[in-house]
Amino acid sequence: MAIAPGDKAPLFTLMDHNRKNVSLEKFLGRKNVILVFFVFAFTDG
Amino acid sequence: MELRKAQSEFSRRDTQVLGISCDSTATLAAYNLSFGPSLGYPVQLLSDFYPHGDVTKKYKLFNSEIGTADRSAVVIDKSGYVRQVNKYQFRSVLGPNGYGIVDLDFNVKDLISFIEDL
Repeated sequence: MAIAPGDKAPLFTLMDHNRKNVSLEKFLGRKNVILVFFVFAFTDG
Repeated sequence: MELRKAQSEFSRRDTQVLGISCDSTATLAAYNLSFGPSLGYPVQLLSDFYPHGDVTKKYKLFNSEIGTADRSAVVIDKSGYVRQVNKYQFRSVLGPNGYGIVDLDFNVKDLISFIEDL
């Protein structure tokens, strides 16, 4: 089962395409965040 | 409505969109470049490559049969709680260079109205 509404969103830090760290924590308190999980770049997934 | 066209709708509603895949940062850099500067592809792309799928697994969206994320969108509110989870099928929309693009299908309008109610 995937994560569900009401769950605390797991915090994370990942590198972006410029190898810059991006943390979920940075947005909390000021922005909603939509995470779009996709299958592979360069595909239709 | 395509995600990249809806970007201003999201930012007006204090909402940040982040794309996540299990690709390497080099792949994401090439992908980003493939759209070209004139298109200004607006979605920040994050690499969940190593440890492979670590964050995707925490969200329980990792598909261990193919080793990638399941195509899905997770809405998180400002206080850090998950408010909506959508799973999608593969789709065949091609970008200007013939590559598939990161998108949210028809669901973008629903997401925008959902966010307005948060």
